[in-house]
Amino acid sequence: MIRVKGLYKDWKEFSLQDINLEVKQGEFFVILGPTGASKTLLLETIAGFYIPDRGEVWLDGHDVTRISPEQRKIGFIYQDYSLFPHMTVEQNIRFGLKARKSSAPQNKERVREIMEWLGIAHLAHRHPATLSGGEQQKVAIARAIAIEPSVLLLDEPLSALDPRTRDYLREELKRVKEELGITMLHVTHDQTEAMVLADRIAVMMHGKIVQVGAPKEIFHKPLNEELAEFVGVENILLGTVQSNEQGLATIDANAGVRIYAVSGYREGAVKVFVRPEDIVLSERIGEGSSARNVLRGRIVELQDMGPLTRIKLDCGLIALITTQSREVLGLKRGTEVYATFKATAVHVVRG
Amino acid sequence: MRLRTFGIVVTDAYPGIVIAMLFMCLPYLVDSAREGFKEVNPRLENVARSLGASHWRTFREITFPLAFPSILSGAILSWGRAISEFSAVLVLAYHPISAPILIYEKFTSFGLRASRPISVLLISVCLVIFIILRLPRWRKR
Repeated sequence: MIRVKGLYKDWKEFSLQDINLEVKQGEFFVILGPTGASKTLLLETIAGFYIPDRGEVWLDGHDVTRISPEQRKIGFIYQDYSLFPHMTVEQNIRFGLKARKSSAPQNKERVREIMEWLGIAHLAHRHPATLSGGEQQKVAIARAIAIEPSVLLLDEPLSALDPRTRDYLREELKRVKEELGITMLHVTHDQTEAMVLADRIAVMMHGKIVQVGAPKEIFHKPLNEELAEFVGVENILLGTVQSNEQGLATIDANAGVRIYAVSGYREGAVKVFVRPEDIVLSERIGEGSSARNVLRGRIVELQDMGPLTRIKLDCGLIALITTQSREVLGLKRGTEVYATFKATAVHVVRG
Repeated sequence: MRLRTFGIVVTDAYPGIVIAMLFMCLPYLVDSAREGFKEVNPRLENVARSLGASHWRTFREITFPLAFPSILSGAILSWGRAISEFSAVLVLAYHPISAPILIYEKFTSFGLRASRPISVLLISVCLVIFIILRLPRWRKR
Protein backbone atom coordinates (compact mmCIF):
# COMPACT_ATOMS: atom_id res chain seq x y z
CA MET A 1 0.00 0.00 0.00
CA ILE A 2 1.28 3.43 -0.93
CA ARG A 3 -0.06 6.68 0.42
CA VAL A 4 1.24 10.07 -0.65
CA LYS A 5 0.05 13.15 1.23
CA GLY A 6 0.46 16.75 0.07
CA LEU A 7 3.78 16.15 -1.63
CA TYR A 8 5.79 19.09 -2.96
CA LYS A 9 9.17 18.97 -4.65
CA ASP A 10 11.09 21.32 -6.91
CA TRP A 11 13.95 19.84 -8.87
CA LYS A 12 15.52 21.47 -11.91
CA GLU A 13 12.77 22.05 -14.46
CA PHE A 14 10.46 19.53 -12.79
CA SER A 15 8.14 20.01 -9.88
CA LEU A 16 5.52 18.17 -7.84
CA GLN A 17 2.65 20.21 -6.54
CA ASP A 18 0.40 18.92 -3.80
CA ILE A 19 0.36 15.30 -4.87
CA ASN A 20 -2.15 13.13 -3.02
CA LEU A 21 -2.43 9.47 -3.93
CA GLU A 22 -3.58 6.25 -2.43
CA VAL A 23 -2.66 2.95 -4.01
CA LYS A 24 -4.36 -0.02 -2.45
CA GLN A 25 -2.74 -3.31 -1.48
CA GLY A 26 -2.33 -5.50 -4.59
CA GLU A 27 -3.60 -2.84 -6.95
CA PHE A 28 -2.22 -2.10 -10.40
CA PHE A 29 -2.16 1.68 -10.40
CA VAL A 30 -1.08 3.62 -13.48
CA ILE A 31 -0.01 7.24 -13.58
CA LEU A 32 -0.69 8.50 -17.07
CA GLY A 33 0.71 11.78 -18.28
CA PRO A 34 2.47 13.52 -21.13
CA THR A 35 6.26 13.90 -21.27
CA GLY A 36 7.50 16.49 -18.81
CA ALA A 37 4.68 16.00 -16.30
CA SER A 38 7.26 15.10 -13.59
CA LYS A 39 6.03 11.51 -13.41
CA THR A 40 9.54 10.13 -12.94
CA LEU A 41 10.27 12.65 -10.21
CA LEU A 42 7.17 11.50 -8.35
CA LEU A 43 8.22 7.86 -8.58
CA GLU A 44 11.77 8.66 -7.50
CA THR A 45 10.51 10.66 -4.55
CA ILE A 46 8.29 7.76 -3.46
CA ALA A 47 11.34 5.50 -3.75
CA GLY A 48 13.34 7.86 -1.54
CA PHE A 49 15.94 8.97 -4.09
CA TYR A 50 14.77 12.51 -3.37
CA ILE A 51 13.52 13.99 -0.14
CA PRO A 52 10.34 16.02 -0.68
CA ASP A 53 10.24 19.73 0.17
CA ARG A 54 6.94 19.11 1.92
CA GLY A 55 4.50 16.26 2.38
CA GLU A 56 4.65 12.63 3.42
CA VAL A 57 5.14 9.22 1.87
CA TRP A 58 3.63 6.20 3.59
CA LEU A 59 4.39 2.58 2.71
CA ASP A 60 2.41 -0.25 4.28
CA GLY A 61 1.20 1.96 7.08
CA HIS A 62 4.59 3.45 7.98
CA ASP A 63 5.74 7.00 7.42
CA VAL A 64 8.90 6.58 5.32
CA THR A 65 9.38 10.20 4.26
CA ARG A 66 12.77 10.45 6.00
CA ILE A 67 13.85 6.85 5.60
CA SER A 68 16.67 6.05 3.16
CA PRO A 69 15.76 4.09 0.02
CA GLU A 70 17.61 0.91 1.07
CA GLN A 71 15.27 0.52 4.03
CA ARG A 72 12.02 0.95 2.11
CA LYS A 73 11.79 -2.47 0.47
CA ILE A 74 10.63 -1.27 -2.90
CA GLY A 75 11.43 -2.54 -6.36
CA PHE A 76 12.30 0.08 -8.95
CA ILE A 77 12.35 -0.44 -12.71
CA TYR A 78 13.54 2.19 -15.17
CA GLN A 79 12.77 2.54 -18.85
CA ASP A 80 16.46 2.09 -19.71
CA TYR A 81 16.60 -1.12 -17.57
CA SER A 82 19.59 0.20 -15.57
CA LEU A 83 21.28 -3.16 -15.26
CA PHE A 84 24.74 -3.14 -13.72
CA PRO A 85 26.92 -3.48 -16.84
CA HIS A 86 29.92 -5.02 -15.06
CA MET A 87 27.92 -7.92 -13.64
CA THR A 88 26.37 -10.98 -15.23
CA VAL A 89 22.62 -11.51 -15.26
CA GLU A 90 22.89 -13.79 -12.26
CA GLN A 91 25.03 -11.32 -10.30
CA ASN A 92 22.59 -8.55 -11.13
CA ILE A 93 19.67 -10.50 -9.73
CA ARG A 94 21.65 -11.60 -6.68
CA PHE A 95 22.83 -8.06 -5.88
CA GLY A 96 19.82 -7.17 -3.75
CA LEU A 97 19.89 -10.44 -1.83
CA LYS A 98 23.59 -9.99 -1.07
CA ALA A 99 23.03 -6.41 0.03
CA ARG A 100 20.35 -7.65 2.39
CA LYS A 101 22.83 -10.17 3.76
CA SER A 102 20.84 -13.31 3.29
CA SER A 103 22.93 -16.47 3.17
CA ALA A 104 24.63 -17.50 -0.04
CA PRO A 105 23.31 -21.04 -0.71
CA GLN A 106 19.72 -19.88 -0.31
CA ASN A 107 20.38 -16.95 -2.64
CA LYS A 108 21.53 -19.19 -5.44
CA GLU A 109 18.37 -21.24 -5.18
CA ARG A 110 16.16 -18.17 -5.10
CA VAL A 111 17.88 -16.55 -8.11
CA ARG A 112 17.52 -19.81 -10.05
CA GLU A 113 13.83 -19.95 -9.19
CA ILE A 114 13.12 -16.39 -10.33
CA MET A 115 15.09 -16.79 -13.54
CA GLU A 116 13.11 -19.90 -14.39
CA TRP A 117 9.83 -18.21 -13.52
CA LEU A 118 10.61 -15.45 -16.01
CA GLY A 119 12.22 -17.73 -18.58
CA ILE A 120 15.70 -16.20 -18.49
CA ALA A 121 17.66 -19.04 -16.86
CA HIS A 122 19.64 -19.58 -20.07
CA LEU A 123 21.00 -16.02 -19.83
CA ALA A 124 22.47 -16.44 -16.34
CA HIS A 125 26.11 -15.94 -17.31
CA ARG A 126 25.68 -13.28 -19.98
CA HIS A 127 26.45 -9.59 -19.51
CA PRO A 128 23.64 -7.04 -19.99
CA ALA A 129 25.25 -5.47 -23.06
CA THR A 130 24.78 -8.73 -24.98
CA LEU A 131 21.02 -8.95 -24.30
CA SER A 132 18.06 -7.62 -26.27
CA GLY A 133 15.85 -4.91 -24.80
CA GLY A 134 13.13 -7.35 -23.81
CA GLU A 135 15.60 -9.68 -22.14
CA GLN A 136 17.20 -6.81 -20.28
CA GLN A 137 13.85 -5.65 -18.96
CA LYS A 138 13.05 -9.18 -17.80
CA VAL A 139 16.34 -9.22 -15.90
CA ALA A 140 15.44 -5.86 -14.37
CA ILE A 141 12.09 -7.27 -13.28
CA ALA A 142 13.78 -10.37 -11.85
CA ARG A 143 16.28 -8.22 -9.96
CA ALA A 144 13.52 -6.08 -8.50
CA ILE A 145 11.27 -8.92 -7.36
CA ALA A 146 14.16 -10.96 -5.94
CA ILE A 147 14.11 -8.86 -2.77
CA GLU A 148 10.39 -9.59 -2.36
CA PRO A 149 9.29 -5.96 -2.31
CA SER A 150 5.80 -5.05 -1.21
CA VAL A 151 5.54 -2.46 -3.97
CA LEU A 152 7.03 -2.23 -7.42
CA LEU A 153 7.60 1.19 -9.00
CA LEU A 154 7.84 1.11 -12.78
CA ASP A 155 9.02 4.11 -14.78
CA GLU A 156 7.83 3.65 -18.38
CA PRO A 157 9.19 0.10 -18.37
CA LEU A 158 7.82 -0.84 -21.79
CA SER A 159 8.31 2.37 -23.73
CA ALA A 160 11.65 1.47 -25.29
CA LEU A 161 10.52 -1.93 -26.59
CA ASP A 162 9.14 -3.06 -29.94
CA PRO A 163 5.37 -3.71 -30.05
CA ARG A 164 5.55 -7.50 -29.84
CA THR A 165 7.92 -7.56 -26.90
CA ARG A 166 5.84 -4.86 -25.26
CA ASP A 167 2.67 -6.96 -25.49
CA TYR A 168 4.50 -9.94 -24.09
CA LEU A 169 6.04 -8.05 -21.18
CA ARG A 170 2.71 -6.43 -20.41
CA GLU A 171 1.37 -9.91 -19.72
CA GLU A 172 4.44 -10.68 -17.61
CA LEU A 173 3.79 -7.61 -15.48
CA LYS A 174 0.21 -8.70 -14.97
CA ARG A 175 1.51 -12.11 -13.91
CA VAL A 176 3.89 -10.49 -11.41
CA LYS A 177 0.97 -8.63 -9.89
CA GLU A 178 -1.41 -11.56 -9.85
CA GLU A 179 0.89 -14.39 -8.78
CA LEU A 180 3.09 -12.47 -6.35
CA GLY A 181 0.47 -10.01 -5.14
CA ILE A 182 2.83 -7.08 -5.41
CA THR A 183 1.32 -3.59 -5.45
CA MET A 184 2.27 -1.94 -8.74
CA LEU A 185 2.71 1.75 -9.39
CA HIS A 186 3.36 2.15 -13.08
CA VAL A 187 4.10 5.40 -14.91
CA THR A 188 3.51 5.78 -18.64
CA HIS A 189 2.47 8.15 -21.41
CA ASP A 190 0.99 5.29 -23.45
CA GLN A 191 -2.80 5.21 -23.18
CA THR A 192 -3.23 1.68 -24.48
CA GLU A 193 -0.80 0.48 -21.84
CA ALA A 194 -2.72 2.30 -19.13
CA MET A 195 -6.03 0.96 -20.41
CA VAL A 196 -4.83 -2.65 -20.55
CA LEU A 197 -2.93 -2.79 -17.27
CA ALA A 198 -4.60 -0.45 -14.84
CA ASP A 199 -7.10 -1.17 -12.11
CA ARG A 200 -7.13 2.57 -11.60
CA ILE A 201 -5.51 5.47 -13.43
CA ALA A 202 -4.32 8.87 -12.25
CA VAL A 203 -3.73 11.48 -14.92
CA MET A 204 -0.80 13.74 -14.17
CA MET A 205 -0.08 17.05 -15.88
CA HIS A 206 2.33 19.89 -15.05
CA GLY A 207 3.33 18.28 -11.76
CA LYS A 208 -0.23 17.79 -10.53
CA ILE A 209 -2.65 14.88 -10.34
CA VAL A 210 -5.70 16.09 -12.22
CA GLN A 211 -8.00 13.08 -12.28
CA VAL A 212 -8.13 9.66 -10.65
CA GLY A 213 -10.52 6.91 -11.67
CA ALA A 214 -11.18 3.60 -13.37
CA PRO A 215 -9.84 3.40 -16.94
CA LYS A 216 -13.33 3.76 -18.43
CA GLU A 217 -13.95 6.90 -16.43
CA ILE A 218 -10.65 8.46 -17.45
CA PHE A 219 -11.14 7.83 -21.15
CA HIS A 220 -14.86 8.57 -21.39
CA LYS A 221 -15.42 11.19 -18.73
CA PRO A 222 -12.39 13.50 -18.68
CA LEU A 223 -12.79 16.46 -16.35
CA ASN A 224 -11.73 19.20 -18.74
CA GLU A 225 -10.72 19.96 -22.30
CA GLU A 226 -6.98 19.52 -21.78
CA LEU A 227 -7.54 16.08 -20.29
CA ALA A 228 -10.00 15.20 -23.05
CA GLU A 229 -7.44 16.07 -25.70
CA PHE A 230 -4.76 14.10 -23.93
CA VAL A 231 -6.82 10.91 -23.63
CA GLY A 232 -7.81 11.03 -27.30
CA VAL A 233 -11.29 12.54 -27.26
CA GLU A 234 -11.12 14.09 -30.69
CA ASN A 235 -14.56 15.64 -30.81
CA ILE A 236 -14.72 18.60 -28.51
CA LEU A 237 -17.65 20.90 -29.24
CA LEU A 238 -18.75 24.10 -27.57
CA GLY A 239 -22.45 24.45 -26.96
CA THR A 240 -25.32 25.70 -24.86
CA VAL A 241 -27.80 23.56 -22.97
CA GLN A 242 -31.31 24.36 -24.23
CA SER A 243 -33.37 22.06 -22.06
CA ASN A 244 -33.09 19.04 -19.83
CA GLU A 245 -35.72 16.39 -19.44
CA GLN A 246 -35.09 13.83 -16.74
CA GLY A 247 -31.36 13.85 -17.30
CA LEU A 248 -31.41 13.99 -21.08
CA ALA A 249 -29.99 17.34 -22.09
CA THR A 250 -30.53 18.98 -25.45
CA ILE A 251 -27.48 20.95 -26.47
CA ASP A 252 -27.04 23.32 -29.39
CA ALA A 253 -23.42 23.02 -30.37
CA ASN A 254 -21.49 25.24 -32.74
CA ALA A 255 -22.17 24.92 -36.48
CA GLY A 256 -25.87 24.38 -35.83
CA VAL A 257 -25.48 20.83 -34.60
CA ARG A 258 -28.01 19.58 -32.06
CA ILE A 259 -26.75 16.96 -29.61
CA TYR A 260 -28.55 14.92 -27.00
CA ALA A 261 -26.56 13.92 -23.97
CA VAL A 262 -27.04 12.19 -20.66
CA SER A 263 -26.11 14.98 -18.31
CA GLY A 264 -27.21 16.82 -15.21
CA TYR A 265 -26.69 20.31 -16.63
CA ARG A 266 -29.91 22.31 -17.08
CA GLU A 267 -28.63 25.44 -18.81
CA GLY A 268 -25.54 27.44 -19.69
CA ALA A 269 -22.41 27.06 -21.79
CA VAL A 270 -20.89 23.59 -21.91
CA LYS A 271 -18.23 21.56 -23.65
CA VAL A 272 -19.25 18.33 -25.28
CA PHE A 273 -16.84 15.38 -25.59
CA VAL A 274 -17.40 12.42 -27.92
CA ARG A 275 -14.76 9.76 -28.48
CA PRO A 276 -14.18 9.10 -32.20
CA GLU A 277 -14.62 5.34 -31.80
CA ASP A 278 -18.12 5.85 -30.34
CA ILE A 279 -19.34 7.30 -33.62
CA VAL A 280 -20.89 4.91 -36.13
CA LEU A 281 -21.06 5.84 -39.80
CA SER A 282 -23.77 4.57 -42.17
CA GLU A 283 -25.25 5.48 -45.51
CA ARG A 284 -28.82 5.37 -44.28
CA ILE A 285 -30.34 6.27 -40.97
CA GLY A 286 -30.07 3.08 -39.01
CA GLU A 287 -33.43 1.58 -38.15
CA GLY A 288 -33.97 0.10 -34.76
CA SER A 289 -30.88 1.83 -33.45
CA SER A 290 -31.13 3.24 -29.96
CA ALA A 291 -28.69 6.04 -30.71
CA ARG A 292 -30.16 9.45 -30.03
CA ASN A 293 -27.76 11.50 -32.08
CA VAL A 294 -27.90 11.37 -35.87
CA LEU A 295 -25.89 13.90 -37.80
CA ARG A 296 -25.57 14.16 -41.56
CA GLY A 297 -22.19 14.99 -43.06
CA ARG A 298 -19.90 14.73 -46.02
CA ILE A 299 -16.52 13.03 -45.73
CA VAL A 300 -13.71 15.53 -46.21
CA GLU A 301 -10.73 13.48 -45.15
CA LEU A 302 -9.79 9.81 -44.77
CA GLN A 303 -6.67 8.77 -42.94
CA ASP A 304 -5.59 5.15 -43.17
CA MET A 305 -4.03 4.00 -39.87
CA GLY A 306 -3.69 0.31 -40.67
CA PRO A 307 -6.52 -1.62 -39.00
CA LEU A 308 -8.39 1.63 -38.32
CA THR A 309 -9.40 4.56 -40.50
CA ARG A 310 -9.85 8.08 -39.19
CA ILE A 311 -12.62 9.95 -40.98
CA LYS A 312 -13.29 13.67 -40.83
CA LEU A 313 -16.73 15.02 -41.72
CA ASP A 314 -17.57 18.52 -42.90
CA CYS A 315 -19.68 19.09 -39.79
CA GLY A 316 -16.45 18.85 -37.81
CA LEU A 317 -16.90 15.37 -36.34
CA ILE A 318 -14.08 12.87 -36.37
CA ALA A 319 -14.90 9.16 -36.42
CA LEU A 320 -12.69 6.13 -36.01
CA ILE A 321 -13.93 3.02 -37.81
CA THR A 322 -12.30 -0.21 -38.86
CA THR A 323 -10.70 -0.17 -42.26
CA GLN A 324 -12.74 -3.27 -43.07
CA SER A 325 -16.07 -1.52 -42.52
CA ARG A 326 -14.81 1.45 -44.50
CA GLU A 327 -14.28 -0.89 -47.43
CA VAL A 328 -17.67 -2.60 -46.97
CA LEU A 329 -19.43 0.78 -46.92
CA GLY A 330 -17.31 2.01 -49.83
CA LEU A 331 -16.52 5.27 -48.09
CA LYS A 332 -14.38 7.83 -49.86
CA ARG A 333 -14.01 11.59 -49.98
CA GLY A 334 -17.30 13.29 -50.75
CA THR A 335 -19.55 10.43 -49.61
CA GLU A 336 -22.61 11.58 -47.68
CA VAL A 337 -23.02 9.66 -44.45
CA TYR A 338 -24.98 9.65 -41.22
CA ALA A 339 -22.95 9.77 -38.05
CA THR A 340 -24.78 8.24 -35.12
CA PHE A 341 -23.81 7.99 -31.47
CA LYS A 342 -25.62 7.35 -28.22
CA ALA A 343 -26.58 10.01 -25.74
CA THR A 344 -24.62 8.00 -23.15
CA ALA A 345 -21.44 8.30 -25.26
CA VAL A 346 -21.54 12.07 -24.88
CA HIS A 347 -19.73 13.55 -21.90
CA VAL A 348 -20.61 17.11 -20.93
CA VAL A 349 -18.56 19.51 -18.78
CA ARG A 350 -19.00 23.18 -17.94
CA GLY A 351 -17.66 25.33 -20.77
CA MET B 1 60.19 24.89 5.33
CA ARG B 2 57.67 23.85 7.94
CA LEU B 3 57.83 20.21 6.83
CA ARG B 4 61.35 20.15 8.24
CA THR B 5 59.88 20.23 11.75
CA PHE B 6 58.35 16.82 11.02
CA GLY B 7 61.68 15.57 9.77
CA ILE B 8 60.72 15.79 6.12
CA VAL B 9 63.34 17.42 3.96
CA VAL B 10 61.99 18.57 0.62
CA THR B 11 64.66 20.52 -1.19
CA ASP B 12 67.36 18.37 -2.74
CA ALA B 13 65.81 15.25 -1.26
CA TYR B 14 63.70 12.31 -2.36
CA PRO B 15 60.36 13.76 -1.04
CA GLY B 16 61.08 16.86 -3.12
CA ILE B 17 61.05 14.82 -6.31
CA VAL B 18 57.76 13.23 -5.30
CA ILE B 19 56.17 16.56 -4.47
CA ALA B 20 57.34 18.21 -7.68
CA MET B 21 56.03 15.32 -9.75
CA LEU B 22 52.70 15.18 -7.91
CA PHE B 23 52.20 18.89 -8.30
CA MET B 24 52.77 18.76 -12.04
CA CYS B 25 50.99 15.53 -12.85
CA LEU B 26 48.19 14.86 -10.35
CA PRO B 27 45.71 17.03 -12.30
CA TYR B 28 45.72 14.44 -15.10
CA LEU B 29 44.55 11.77 -12.69
CA VAL B 30 42.00 14.00 -10.94
CA ASP B 31 40.49 15.19 -14.18
CA SER B 32 40.19 11.77 -15.72
CA ALA B 33 38.77 10.25 -12.52
CA ARG B 34 36.20 13.01 -12.31
CA GLU B 35 35.07 12.31 -15.86
CA GLY B 36 34.85 8.62 -14.99
CA PHE B 37 32.62 9.24 -11.97
CA LYS B 38 30.47 11.65 -13.91
CA GLU B 39 29.82 9.03 -16.58
CA VAL B 40 28.30 6.58 -14.13
CA ASN B 41 24.53 6.77 -14.62
CA PRO B 42 22.95 7.95 -11.36
CA ARG B 43 20.03 5.63 -12.09
CA LEU B 44 22.33 2.65 -11.48
CA GLU B 45 23.11 4.05 -8.04
CA ASN B 46 19.41 4.67 -7.40
CA VAL B 47 18.53 1.10 -8.30
CA ALA B 48 21.33 -0.23 -6.11
CA ARG B 49 20.00 1.77 -3.17
CA SER B 50 16.46 0.54 -3.77
CA LEU B 51 17.78 -3.03 -3.74
CA GLY B 52 19.05 -2.50 -0.23
CA ALA B 53 22.64 -1.36 -0.70
CA SER B 54 23.91 1.42 1.57
CA HIS B 55 25.69 4.53 0.26
CA TRP B 56 29.07 2.99 0.89
CA ARG B 57 28.20 -0.39 -0.62
CA THR B 58 26.77 1.32 -3.71
CA PHE B 59 30.01 3.25 -4.12
CA ARG B 60 32.15 0.16 -3.58
CA GLU B 61 30.25 -2.21 -5.84
CA ILE B 62 28.72 0.03 -8.50
CA THR B 63 30.18 3.53 -8.78
CA PHE B 64 33.85 2.75 -8.21
CA PRO B 65 34.10 -0.35 -10.42
CA LEU B 66 32.37 1.51 -13.26
CA ALA B 67 34.64 4.54 -12.91
CA PHE B 68 37.77 2.41 -12.45
CA PRO B 69 38.86 2.25 -16.11
CA SER B 70 38.93 6.05 -16.23
CA ILE B 71 40.81 6.23 -12.95
CA LEU B 72 43.36 3.71 -14.18
CA SER B 73 43.90 5.45 -17.47
CA GLY B 74 44.26 8.76 -15.62
CA ALA B 75 46.80 7.17 -13.32
CA ILE B 76 48.82 5.82 -16.23
CA LEU B 77 48.76 9.17 -17.98
CA SER B 78 49.76 10.89 -14.79
CA TRP B 79 52.60 8.47 -14.16
CA GLY B 80 53.86 8.79 -17.72
CA ARG B 81 53.90 12.51 -17.34
CA ALA B 82 55.65 12.31 -13.96
CA ILE B 83 58.47 10.00 -14.96
CA SER B 84 59.65 12.50 -17.54
CA GLU B 85 59.05 15.59 -15.39
CA PHE B 86 62.05 17.86 -15.64
CA SER B 87 61.53 21.53 -14.84
CA ALA B 88 59.80 21.32 -11.45
CA VAL B 89 62.19 18.63 -10.24
CA LEU B 90 65.15 20.67 -11.48
CA VAL B 91 64.06 23.64 -9.39
CA LEU B 92 63.00 21.82 -6.24
CA ALA B 93 65.29 18.82 -5.99
CA TYR B 94 68.23 18.65 -8.39
CA HIS B 95 69.75 16.00 -6.12
CA PRO B 96 69.33 13.03 -5.74
CA ILE B 97 69.22 13.17 -9.54
CA SER B 98 66.17 11.66 -11.25
CA ALA B 99 66.44 10.08 -14.71
CA PRO B 100 65.59 13.16 -16.82
CA ILE B 101 68.06 15.22 -14.82
CA LEU B 102 70.73 12.62 -15.27
CA ILE B 103 70.12 12.77 -19.00
CA TYR B 104 70.41 16.54 -18.88
CA GLU B 105 73.58 16.40 -16.82
CA LYS B 106 75.27 13.90 -19.12
CA PHE B 107 74.17 15.96 -22.11
CA THR B 108 75.63 19.23 -20.81
CA SER B 109 78.87 17.60 -19.63
CA PHE B 110 79.58 15.06 -22.36
CA GLY B 111 77.11 15.68 -25.19
CA LEU B 112 74.31 13.80 -26.86
CA ARG B 113 76.25 10.57 -27.24
CA ALA B 114 76.67 10.25 -23.47
CA SER B 115 73.03 10.88 -22.63
CA ARG B 116 71.70 8.42 -25.23
CA PRO B 117 72.02 5.12 -23.24
CA ILE B 118 70.11 6.54 -20.29
CA SER B 119 67.36 7.82 -22.59
CA VAL B 120 67.00 4.43 -24.24
CA LEU B 121 66.88 2.71 -20.87
CA LEU B 122 64.22 5.12 -19.57
CA ILE B 123 62.08 4.68 -22.66
CA SER B 124 62.32 0.88 -22.49
CA VAL B 125 61.39 0.78 -18.83
CA CYS B 126 58.39 3.05 -19.49
CA LEU B 127 57.29 0.96 -22.43
CA VAL B 128 57.34 -2.24 -20.43
CA ILE B 129 55.38 -0.70 -17.58
CA PHE B 130 52.82 0.79 -19.97
CA ILE B 131 52.27 -2.56 -21.62
CA ILE B 132 51.84 -4.32 -18.29
CA LEU B 133 49.31 -1.75 -17.12
CA ARG B 134 47.29 -1.87 -20.33
CA LEU B 135 47.36 -5.66 -20.55
CA PRO B 136 44.23 -6.42 -18.49
CA ARG B 137 42.12 -4.14 -20.65
CA TRP B 138 43.32 -5.59 -23.93
CA ARG B 139 42.55 -9.04 -22.68
CA LYS B 140 38.98 -7.99 -21.86
CA ARG B 141 38.19 -7.10 -25.47
